[in-house]
Amino acid sequence: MRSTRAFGSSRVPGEHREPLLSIKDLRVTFRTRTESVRAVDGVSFDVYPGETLGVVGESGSGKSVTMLSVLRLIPPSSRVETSGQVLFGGQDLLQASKREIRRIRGQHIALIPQDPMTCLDPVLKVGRQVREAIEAHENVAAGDADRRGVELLATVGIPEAGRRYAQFPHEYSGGMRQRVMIAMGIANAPSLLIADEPTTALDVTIQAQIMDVLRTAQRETRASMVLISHDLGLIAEMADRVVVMYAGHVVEAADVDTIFSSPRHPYTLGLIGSLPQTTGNEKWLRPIPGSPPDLANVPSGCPFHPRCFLSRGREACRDSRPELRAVGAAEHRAACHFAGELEGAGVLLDGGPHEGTT
Amino acid sequence: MTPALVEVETPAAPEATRTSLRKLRTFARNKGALIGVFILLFLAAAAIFAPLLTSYDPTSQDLSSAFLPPSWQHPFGTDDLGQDILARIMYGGRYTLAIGAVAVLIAAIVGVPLGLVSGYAGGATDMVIQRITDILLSFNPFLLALVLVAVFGVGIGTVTIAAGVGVIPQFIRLTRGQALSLREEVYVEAAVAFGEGSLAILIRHVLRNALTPIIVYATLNIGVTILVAAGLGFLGLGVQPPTPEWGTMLGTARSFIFKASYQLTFPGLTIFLAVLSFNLVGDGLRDAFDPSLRE
Repeated sequence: MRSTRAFGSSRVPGEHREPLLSIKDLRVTFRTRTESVRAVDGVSFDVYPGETLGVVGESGSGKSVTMLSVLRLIPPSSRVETSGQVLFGGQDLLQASKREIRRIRGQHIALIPQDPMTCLDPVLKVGRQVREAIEAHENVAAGDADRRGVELLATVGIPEAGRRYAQFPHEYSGGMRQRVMIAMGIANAPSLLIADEPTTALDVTIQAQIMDVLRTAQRETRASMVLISHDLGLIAEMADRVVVMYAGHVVEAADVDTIFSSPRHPYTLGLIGSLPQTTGNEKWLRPIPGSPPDLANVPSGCPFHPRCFLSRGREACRDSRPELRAVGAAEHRAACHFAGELEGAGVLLDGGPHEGTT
Repeated sequence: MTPALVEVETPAAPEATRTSLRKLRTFARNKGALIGVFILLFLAAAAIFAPLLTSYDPTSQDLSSAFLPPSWQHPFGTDDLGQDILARIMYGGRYTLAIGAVAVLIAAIVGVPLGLVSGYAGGATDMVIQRITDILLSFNPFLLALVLVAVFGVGIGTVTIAAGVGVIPQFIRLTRGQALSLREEVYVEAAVAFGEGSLAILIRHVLRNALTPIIVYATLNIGVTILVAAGLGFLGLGVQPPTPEWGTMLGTARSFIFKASYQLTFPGLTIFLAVLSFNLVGDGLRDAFDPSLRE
């Protein structure tokens, strides 16, 4: 878990590539008067140039907090403690000065937020806001910025970009607003895009369109992307590699094919099992029993053990926290004492590991 | 579920113009506000076009025609120095209305930035600004103005500033509250995430969105500053005679209240009408802009 290199990419096996972003032992703790909540508890992973990394987990698994910490967007206060390292371009972002972090935001790392309905200023024209995103990092003449702004809107598939550029946010639908946010995100050709559940707030029919736009945007800027989502279907479609988070920990990490064909953590298996199947005969979804733990009272040992079908009350699960270690293929890591028992889990997926628990 | 084939996104209604139109209509339906607007326009027009509307010089004295009661010649009568009261009220509007408006402008120019910084920055900055505000608030605004005039001497400039100082803390409070809530808006956080600077965010996003309540508040407070300025004039500490400022006119007329009550009545009524109108207009604006009061 504390290994300096979490894992490499499957796409270029054997080649030692420099990660673009390297998160090392990140811990974020929120303190209240009575308790402390460990939202992120020793998370390490790398993002490589050009790849799409999916970060999966339920609400409260720490996936958003992890990525917000990268941009230092969690307001510093006496109640938040952040430790660890976030290396980007040889610089630890957690130690960067305010000026430096402001330069990174938007210019090198851009965040595409979750809810497009609220992230545009209602009193400013859309074009003005796109222009601001450009001007925040570049000294350009207003006319040039506007021309580029219109081009950006066209890139993200907004019809009649020129006319739409001069409209107010309330004249845009949710999907159109999300396109604008993506346009603003790629305005300065950042090398890393962080998309925090970019389609959660949108209509299902719009989701596919937005993901296409994201893919186009990523291709145009040749940026890496971290896609935060709880939607495994989306991840399967978009990601090259996947990090699965649970209760502030990385519980499994591998390339996308490995994750889906041979998951080695019972939580990952549960997530996959709870996907609606369109091909099989199953008429039922298989939910993971129980609910995510209260982060102020994380269960002892493995945080997943009370919900785990594999644990079956074994002492190791209750008493000691499993470290993230290599399982099977070299780049495949899982944090489970009994990961070995899940070999050939593809079979389990059909057989139903949850038979006794649902 | 069959895969949806409809890819048309429902466009939001083009309600930009509709919204402002509805605000205008809400405002126009408010009879009090409309009356206020008309009175203010009337008073302002009378002040601006005074030379065209009256042939009398507001400061030319004619002791032989002092204390003339209202007549066709002098609709509001003449004062103790034989000056036409109507002419003085019309010309006086230039001073009183301007002092009221400029005083509020000064208060806003000082108070709004302080409130913005206080609310947005928080922490120690907020603490210091808020304690200063508390101290200012613990004085009666009129008393504060009185002290300032006593220290810096009488004159139009001093009176204007003195009248404005009293409402500065209100502007700080109001703007701070706005900044505090706007700071939490997602679009402000998004602007931070896109790397925009604090000053740019403060001006482009926070101030822009806080502007409506600030304008409403400013309108309401012109009434207050007019009263303070007129009050100073009444006490002889404001604009000095023979300048026809309304409060000053009241102050002079005080001595002749039994001999020539009209000399007191007309300036007094005018002040009352002006302050009432600003309050009516301010209320109307507030109702029109406040989304919670919209039906």
